[in-house]
Amino acid sequence: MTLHSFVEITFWISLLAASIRIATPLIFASLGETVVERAGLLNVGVEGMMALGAVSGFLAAFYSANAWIAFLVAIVVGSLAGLIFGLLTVVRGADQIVTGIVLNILALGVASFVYQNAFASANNVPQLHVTTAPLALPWLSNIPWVGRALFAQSPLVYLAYLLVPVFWFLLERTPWGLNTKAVGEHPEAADSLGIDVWRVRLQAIILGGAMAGLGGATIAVAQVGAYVDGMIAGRGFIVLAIVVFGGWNPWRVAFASLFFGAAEALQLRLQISGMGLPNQLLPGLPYLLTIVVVVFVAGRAGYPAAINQPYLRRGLTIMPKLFQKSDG
Amino acid sequence: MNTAALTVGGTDRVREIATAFGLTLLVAALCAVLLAVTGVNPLRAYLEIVRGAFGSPNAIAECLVYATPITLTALSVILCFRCGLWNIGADGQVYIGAIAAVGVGFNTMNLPGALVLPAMLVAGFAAGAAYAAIPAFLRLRFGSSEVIVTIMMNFLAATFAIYLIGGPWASGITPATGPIVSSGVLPIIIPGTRLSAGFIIALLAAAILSRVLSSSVFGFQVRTIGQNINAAKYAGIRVNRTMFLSFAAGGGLAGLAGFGEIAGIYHNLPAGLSPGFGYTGIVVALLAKLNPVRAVVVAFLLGALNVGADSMQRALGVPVSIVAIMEGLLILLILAARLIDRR
Amino acid sequence: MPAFVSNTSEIDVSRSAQWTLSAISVTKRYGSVQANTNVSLDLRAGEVHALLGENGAGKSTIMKILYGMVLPDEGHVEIDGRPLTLLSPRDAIHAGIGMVFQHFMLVPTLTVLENLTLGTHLAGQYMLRKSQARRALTEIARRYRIGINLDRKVSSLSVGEQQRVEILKALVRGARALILDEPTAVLTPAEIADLGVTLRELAAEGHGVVIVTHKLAEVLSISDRVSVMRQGRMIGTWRTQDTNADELVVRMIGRNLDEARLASEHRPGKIVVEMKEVLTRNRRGLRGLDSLSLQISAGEIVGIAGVEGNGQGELAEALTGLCRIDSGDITLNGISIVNRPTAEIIAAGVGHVPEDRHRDGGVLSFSLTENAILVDHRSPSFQRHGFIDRHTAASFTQRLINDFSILCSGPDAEFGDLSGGNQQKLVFARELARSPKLLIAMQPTRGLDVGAIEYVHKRLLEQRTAGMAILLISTELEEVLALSDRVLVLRNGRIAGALARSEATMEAVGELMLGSGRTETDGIAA
Repeated sequence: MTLHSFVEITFWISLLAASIRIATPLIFASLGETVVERAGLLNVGVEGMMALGAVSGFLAAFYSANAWIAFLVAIVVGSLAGLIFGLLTVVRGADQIVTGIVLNILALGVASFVYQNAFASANNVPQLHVTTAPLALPWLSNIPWVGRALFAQSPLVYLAYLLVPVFWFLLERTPWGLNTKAVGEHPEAADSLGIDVWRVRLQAIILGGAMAGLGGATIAVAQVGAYVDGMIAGRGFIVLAIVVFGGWNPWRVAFASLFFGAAEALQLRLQISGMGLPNQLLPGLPYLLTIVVVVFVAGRAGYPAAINQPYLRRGLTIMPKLFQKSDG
Repeated sequence: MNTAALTVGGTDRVREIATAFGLTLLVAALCAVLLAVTGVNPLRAYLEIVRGAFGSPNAIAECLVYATPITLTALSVILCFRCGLWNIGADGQVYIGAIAAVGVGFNTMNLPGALVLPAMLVAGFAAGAAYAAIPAFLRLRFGSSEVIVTIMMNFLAATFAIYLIGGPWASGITPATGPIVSSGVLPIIIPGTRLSAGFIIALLAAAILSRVLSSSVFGFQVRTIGQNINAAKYAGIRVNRTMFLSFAAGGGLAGLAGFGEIAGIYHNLPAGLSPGFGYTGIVVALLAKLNPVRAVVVAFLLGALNVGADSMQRALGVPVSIVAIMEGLLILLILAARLIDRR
Repeated sequence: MPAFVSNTSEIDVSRSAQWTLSAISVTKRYGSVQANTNVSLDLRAGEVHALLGENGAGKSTIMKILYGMVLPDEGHVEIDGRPLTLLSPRDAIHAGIGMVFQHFMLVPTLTVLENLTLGTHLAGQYMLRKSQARRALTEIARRYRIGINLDRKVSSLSVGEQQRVEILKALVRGARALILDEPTAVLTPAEIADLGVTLRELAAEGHGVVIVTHKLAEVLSISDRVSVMRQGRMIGTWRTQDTNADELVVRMIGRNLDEARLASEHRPGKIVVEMKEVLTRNRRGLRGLDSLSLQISAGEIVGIAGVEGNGQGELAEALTGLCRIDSGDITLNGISIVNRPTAEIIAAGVGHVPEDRHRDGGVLSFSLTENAILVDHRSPSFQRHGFIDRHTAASFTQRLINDFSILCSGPDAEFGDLSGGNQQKLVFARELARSPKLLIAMQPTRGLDVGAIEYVHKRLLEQRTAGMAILLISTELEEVLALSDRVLVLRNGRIAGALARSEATMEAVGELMLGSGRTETDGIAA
C-alpha cells in the first residue's frame, strides 16, 4: 500500500473485512466482560482465560479434527476458569485485581505446560488442518461494496453478530439482566430484596469466562491455526479498555472492538507497506491506542458503583454497615 | 482498594507459618499429581529441583542471581501497593531501565571510566521512575486505570526493546545489542559465579525501603494513604504528591533491576531480557505480605525454585512453566484461605 | 384482593381484618453485650406504633429480629398466636412483614419502576414485563395515594420521594406490617408532615406500622401507641394520647433530662474565624455553600443546626481545606486560609473531629499511637530529620489514654479494636491536645451511647470555658440547643438565621429550618 491507498475504496473495504475478522475474538471476550463488570466484578484475568481457551481449543481441534468441538471445549475450560475466579473473589472475598493477575500467571503457565507436554517431541509447531472456512451468506454477501466484507466471513463472525443483540437483550430485557445490574450497582439493596448476590455474580463470571475462552479459541483455531506461548499478546487487557470505551453497552462495546480491530488491521498493512515506517515499532500501536482510549474516556466514571468490592454477606444477615457495634 | 488484607497482619505468627507451610505442601502435592499425569516421577522431579538449586555453590549463586531482579521488582510492587496503587508495570520499567543503562553504557559521551557505572545506575533508576511517572500522572490527573496503562506500557517497552535490538543498536551477531564498555560492568562478588554486586544493591534497597516504610514520615504517609485515603486527606497529607512520588520511586526500583541485569549479567541488551520479572515480583510481594525484608527471603526461595526447575527441565524434560503453576496455585490457595485469618 | 399482590401473606389481607404481630420474650446477646432482654412487643392492624428509645437502647435489634435478619437467642415472633420461623428477610416478606431501612435500599442508576419490580413476581420469569408491571404499580400508588413518577431514575429523586418508593416496595411485596427505621432522620419538616399523612393512610387501609425512632416530636404527632425501650429492655407500652413528652423522656433515659445547660455566661473573646460570602461546589458539581458568612469568637460554641444535606459537610470541608472555595474569604485570626492546603490549615490551629470517625478520623488498622500522631506527624515534636520518634509518640499517646480514660490495652492497641465511644474519645483527645484555636466538631456524638455522649458534651463545654472557639455541627437539634451560645441555622448552603441562646427554641429553629416563614408547621410538635 501507499499513501494513495487511503483514497481507494477497495482499501477501505479490505480494511473493513480484516477489522471485522480481527475484532471477532475481542467482541466475544468483551461481551462477556461487559456482563461481568455490570455485575460488579473486575476480571483482570481475561488474558489468562483467553489463553486457556486458545490452548484447549487448539488441542481439541487437533485431536478431534472438528472445529466445533474445539470451541465447545474452550467454552467449558473458560467457564471453569471463570468459576475459579468467582469462588475466590465472590465467596472468599479475595481482592479482584490480585486474583486476576495471579490467575493470569497461573493460566499462562498451565497453557504453556499443557501444550509443551502434548507436543514435547515435536520439532516444529504443529499446524491445524481444520479451520473454519469463510462462509459466504447467500443473498447478503452480494450487497455492493460491503457485502463480502460483512457477510463472507468465518461462521464465528456471524456468531459474533448474533451475540451482540443477544447480550443486549440479556441485560436489558430479562429479569436476570435487571438483577445483574442491581447487584453491580448496589448489592445490599439487591440482597435486601432476596436476590442472591453471590449466585448472580458467579453466573456472570462463568459466562464471562466462557466468552473469554471462546475468544481465545477463535484466535488459535479460526485465525492462526496454531498455539504459541504469549499469542494472546495483551488482548485480554485491551478488552478491559474496550468495555470502558463501550460504556458497558453491548452494541457500543462491539463497535469499540471493531475500532481496535481496525487499528490492528491498519497496523499490519502499514508493516508490509514498504512505506518506510519502523516496522518493529508498529506492533505497539494497539497498546498505545488502548492507553489513549483509557485516558480520554474519563477514567473511573461510569464503572458500576459496586465494582471491585467483595460482598461478604449472603442472604441472612445483611452487610456490616447496617449492624453498628454500639447501637442496639 | 484495600491493602489491609495483603499486608503483614497482627495475627498469630505461628499459625501463619503453619498455614504457609501447609499450603506449600498442598501445592507440592497437586503439582505432583500433575507431574505424574505427564509421566514424570514427582519425587525425582522435586529432588532434581532441590539438587539443581542447592547442589553446588555455583547453583546457590545462581539462585541469588535470579533473586536479584525479582527482589527489586518486588520492592517496587510493595512500595506502590502499600500506597494504594497497582504497579503491574514493573516488567516494562525493567526494560526501560535496562535500555537506559545500556544506552549510557555504550559511553558515546566518553565519560571517565569511574563514572560510567554510577551513571548507568542513575540512568536506570531515573528511566524507570520516569516511565512509571506516566501512568501515575494519568491516574492522578485523569483517573485512568493504572492497571491497564501499566500493562500496556509493558508491551510498549518490550516492543521498543525489540526495535532497538533489531534496528539502531543491532550488533549483527546475536539477538542482542552491542556490548557496553568494560567500565560499565558490575564486579562479580563470588568468583567463578555470575553473582554480581547487583545483589548487594538489591539487599541495600530492601533495607532502605524497610526503614523508610516503617519509620520515616514519608513512609507513614504512604501507609496511611494505602490504608485509608480519606483519613490521609483529613490529616493534611498531600495525597497526590505522595502517591506520585511512591509510584515513581517504585518505577525507579524496577529500573534498577534492569540496570542490574545489564551491568551484572549480560553487558548488553538481549532479546527476552525479562522472563516476567515484573510479574514474578508481584508474586514475591504478595507472598511476602508486602514486607520488604520478607521479600528478600521469598525472592531467594523463588529464585531457587526457578533455578531448580531449569535443571529439572534439562534432566527430565519437565517444562519450566510448572514453576508458574506452582506460584499461581500457591497464591490462589493463600487467597482462598486468607479469610480464615482475617478478623 | 388485588391480583398484583402475591397472596402468600400469612396475614389476612382484607381491609377490616384484625391481626396482631408480636415478639414474645425476645432475648439477643452479642458477645457480652445484651442487646435485647426479654423484649415483648405487639403491633395491631390499623395502628401506627412508635418504638422509642435512645441510641443503643436495642430498638434496631428487635426490628431486625422481626424482619428475619437476626435470630433471637430466646423468644420468638408470632402472628395471632401462631409462631413464625423467620430465617431470612425472605421469610419475613413471605409473612407479610416489610421493612424500610434508614439507609435506603434503592439502586440509584435504575428507574423507580425497575427498583420496584426487582426481585418480585412483577419482573416475570424470562422476560421483563414492563407494561404489566407499570399498570400494577400505578394501581397500588393510586390506592395509597402515594405520588411517584415511575420512569425517573432514583438518583434524581429527593429523599422524601425515595422514602415513598421504599414504602411502595414493601407494599408491592404484600406487606401488611411495615417497619420504618428512623424514617424522619433525613427528612425536612415538610416531608415529615407528608410522611405522617401517608402513614395514617396506611393505617386506615388496615396496615400496621411501627416507626422506630428517638425523636419525641414524631412520636407524639404520628403514633397511636408508643413503646419505650431502654438499655435492651421494654419499659412499657402506652396509648400516645395518654402520655406526654416529659413522661416519655423519663422512661427513655431513666431520669429527667438534665438540660445540660452552660454554667458560665457567654463572654466571647475576639473573633477567631470569619467567613465572608463563601461559595463552593460540592462533589457532584452542585452548589455547596452559597455565599455563606459567619463568625466565631474565642470562648464560644457556635452551633450549626439544620437538616442533613444542607451544606454541613461542605462547611467543615471549606474550613479545613478539603474542598475548593470558588469565591469568598475565610480568615483565622486575621490570616486568610482560603484554598490553603490542609496541612497548612492544621498547622495554623484548626482542629477537626470529623463526622465519620472510621472513614476520616482514623485508620482502623493502625495502632493508637499512629492514630494519635496522624494529624501532627510532621511537627518537630514527633519527627526528626524525616523519621518518626516512636518513643515520644508512644508516651504522648499514653498521656492521652490516661487523661481521657480511653479503654484499651495500651498505645499499641489497634484502633479498630476499640469501641465507638473510645474511638471518638481518641479522636477528641488528639484534636484537643493540639490546643487548636478553632475546633470543628461534626456530629460528635453520632453512634455513641449515653455515657459517651455526656462525656463529649462535658469536654466541649470545658474547652469553651477555657477560651477555645468551637463550631458544633450536628443534626441532633437537642444537642445543638443544649451546648451552643449562638445557633445558626444552615439551609441550602447559607445561614438562614442566627439566634442567641435565649431565643433558640425548637420552634424558632424549626421555622428557620423550614424556611417558608410559616408559623404553623403541620405534624411537628414542639
